[in-house]
Amino acid sequence: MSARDEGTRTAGAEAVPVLSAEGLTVRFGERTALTDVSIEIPRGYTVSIIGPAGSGKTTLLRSFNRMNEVIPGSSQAGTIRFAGRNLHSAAMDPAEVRRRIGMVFEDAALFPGSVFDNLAFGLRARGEEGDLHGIAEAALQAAGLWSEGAEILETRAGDLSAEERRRMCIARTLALKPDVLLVDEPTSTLDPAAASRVESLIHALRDDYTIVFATCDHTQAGRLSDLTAYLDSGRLLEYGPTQTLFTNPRNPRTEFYLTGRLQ
Amino acid sequence: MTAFRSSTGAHPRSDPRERLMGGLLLGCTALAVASAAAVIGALGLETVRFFADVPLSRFLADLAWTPSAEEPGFGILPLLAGTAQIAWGATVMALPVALVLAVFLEFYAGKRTASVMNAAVAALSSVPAVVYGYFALNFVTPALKGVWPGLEAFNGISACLVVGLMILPTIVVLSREALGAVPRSVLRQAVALGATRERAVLRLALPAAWLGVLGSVVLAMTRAVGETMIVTLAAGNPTGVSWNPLEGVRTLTSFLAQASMGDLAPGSIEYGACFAVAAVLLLLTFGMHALGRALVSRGQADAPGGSRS
Amino acid sequence: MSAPARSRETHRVRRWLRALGGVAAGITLAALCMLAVVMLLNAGRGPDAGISAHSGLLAAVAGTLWLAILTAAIAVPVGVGAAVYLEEYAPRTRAWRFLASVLANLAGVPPVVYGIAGLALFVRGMGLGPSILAGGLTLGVLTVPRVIANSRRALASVPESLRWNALALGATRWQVVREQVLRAAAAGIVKGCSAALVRAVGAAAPLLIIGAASFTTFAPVSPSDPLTSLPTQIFAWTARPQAGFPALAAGASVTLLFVMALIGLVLWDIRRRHGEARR
Repeated sequence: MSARDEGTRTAGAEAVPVLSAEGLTVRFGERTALTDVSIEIPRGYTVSIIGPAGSGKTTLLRSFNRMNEVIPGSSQAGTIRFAGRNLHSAAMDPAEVRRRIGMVFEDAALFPGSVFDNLAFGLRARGEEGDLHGIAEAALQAAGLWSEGAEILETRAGDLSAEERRRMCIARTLALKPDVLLVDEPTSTLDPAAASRVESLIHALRDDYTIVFATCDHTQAGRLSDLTAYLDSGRLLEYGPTQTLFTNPRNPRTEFYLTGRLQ
Repeated sequence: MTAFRSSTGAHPRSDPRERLMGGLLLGCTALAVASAAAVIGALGLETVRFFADVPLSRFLADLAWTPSAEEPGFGILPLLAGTAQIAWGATVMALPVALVLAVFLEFYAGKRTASVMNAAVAALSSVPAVVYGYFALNFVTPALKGVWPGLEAFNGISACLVVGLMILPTIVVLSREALGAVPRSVLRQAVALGATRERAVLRLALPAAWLGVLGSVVLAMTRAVGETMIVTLAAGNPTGVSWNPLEGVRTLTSFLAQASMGDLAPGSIEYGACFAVAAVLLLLTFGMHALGRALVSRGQADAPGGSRS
Repeated sequence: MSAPARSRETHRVRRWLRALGGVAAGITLAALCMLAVVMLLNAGRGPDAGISAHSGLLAAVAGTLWLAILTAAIAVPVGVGAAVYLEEYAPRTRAWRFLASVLANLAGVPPVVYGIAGLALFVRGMGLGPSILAGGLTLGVLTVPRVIANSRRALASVPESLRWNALALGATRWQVVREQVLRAAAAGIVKGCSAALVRAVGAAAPLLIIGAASFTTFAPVSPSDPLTSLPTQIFAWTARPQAGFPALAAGASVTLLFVMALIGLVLWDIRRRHGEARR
């Protein structure tokens, strides 16, 4: 039974959300990237973040796994909770946070070496001493990169196609078995055929993970997500079930954006 | 509402290894800073002692620098004048060749020519100064004597030529970096709009890179100011100031090299004088290097946008 | 201007640019060739037999190798460590930026100034006298800022996204630095260190100032032996006008260039192997 069935949906809404932000404001030096954003991500749901370029989509994703604080000059106010616990409390180890809330960047840098080296990096960082090959195989299978068998492990990452690279970066994150998957622009820089195949992969992962993704392509948000958040100039203007937001937006700016009339 | 400061992502709490490495690296930095402080402190201390004996007014206003003479002169100006002559002279010699070479290598030279010239420039930049000094004294000066029979054995022109040769790689390499930072897409765009390649290079790339080029010249001049061996060997050690390039020149650096060859008794006035000259040299080169670096990085920040392919 | 006239004009500009470039390249190559020929010819003439017997060339070579090892042992760990700290760890506060810029600009301060400081600090302050150790410390201190500057440039050229991707997979800062950043920057760091070291090995001025011996016949066997090196020996011989010494100095110069090339070759080999390991 899928987590998105009607029955569990109501139950999920009562339970503690897996991620929540309350009054989140993020600044980079003088520039304010997010202003007073409050949002809840229920467990098992797929949430899309849409909005014009520069509206703070990536910043919101990055604040969910404490990746903004590695940018010099950034500062943050507000509270983010992960399964009810303050993400920034002293007991939270940022490295552990990032293992449990995995993120695939739009600019997904390949690590030097083979595909296996790429997958093993995160596992070794965690101190994993078990069957690295087994874990890597499972992750590559989940990401749809195992069709040609084990030889993919020894392939140099730099020799992969754009689509395979994207899949490998997803596999790199999946290997750590995160609770939440953050994906920034899952299909940017891919040609249409590859984009639709990667989209199917995200669709397949919906059953196993809570997913939050940011996209410039709102039709993609419509195809993939249960809930959609509309960000505009760093403010969360609207958040709700994707169906409702697309067919009956409450905020006129949301409607302007969706219909391509935003000034 | 809580505010979080940005951190570098180091988590000293979590892992003893993490803590150890962070500590080790911080220790290296502390050592580097401590050695820098020791250098500046040592120079500063002796310089302060020197100025207790010699008033600053004499240092700035005396017209001769003869600290060990019977009636000593303590004016820094003659040394500064000599240093300026060598630095300007060398830059004037090197700049035209270096700049043309940088433009040529960046935009015109074929692959083979470029790799030969890169190797030649790298070779020039790794020749030790003392070897250049030998070359100036035993080859350039005799050769110039054929042109100007009145040339003295120790003269400024030979030193300028060879210091110019020594700083040439600095200008070529850094100017090429500045020219290379102008996005190729911008130049292609210009050519696509009907400009000739020459127009794109001369009217677009050069103006866009000029701050970086200027920075490379300042950095090269900094090296010329600090150059010791060539000047000591080829330009002699005259006490007077002459603006004739056929005569000898004494610079801040060559005074230091010459003075240290005698026996410097600590506490003597000559010993203090060396530290005062070294402190002036430190301030001068530190400032020039800072200016050069600022120009280079401003040049990069101001470069026109575009894809850097 | 009519179109054909204009195109003739550009043609002329292009020809001029190419010709000027050729002239500049020719001047540079000619200067380099003259330098090489002068050194080799003078070295080939050979010194008078009487001088060469006790010339101390061997002692100078041994001194230079000692100095290279001491300088590398001091400057490489301290310089690379400080560069990693400044690029990867140090908070971007005003105080740290100030310290970093002081260290960066000290790289532009000429060696002769460090010689004067070394005289006060090591020769007199620490009582080391004009020894190999005092020379090595002086060269080490002057090389540290250069190693820092070159290593920082190599580290800064590693794209930020590599660090982000590695951090996002739950790696700690040191894991990111060791496994990803240092591997990506290794070639540039080794190149930067070798450039700084080769320059230190060729430096004569600071060693002259702290009191390098101009006449040594014993090869130094420990760091406390009197300071001697090829560059200072070349200077001493060049400054002597008597017949025979210029040839000796040229011979020593060729030897020095050979030693530097050897050091450069070893470092180049390290770089090449690092480069291959990255793939």
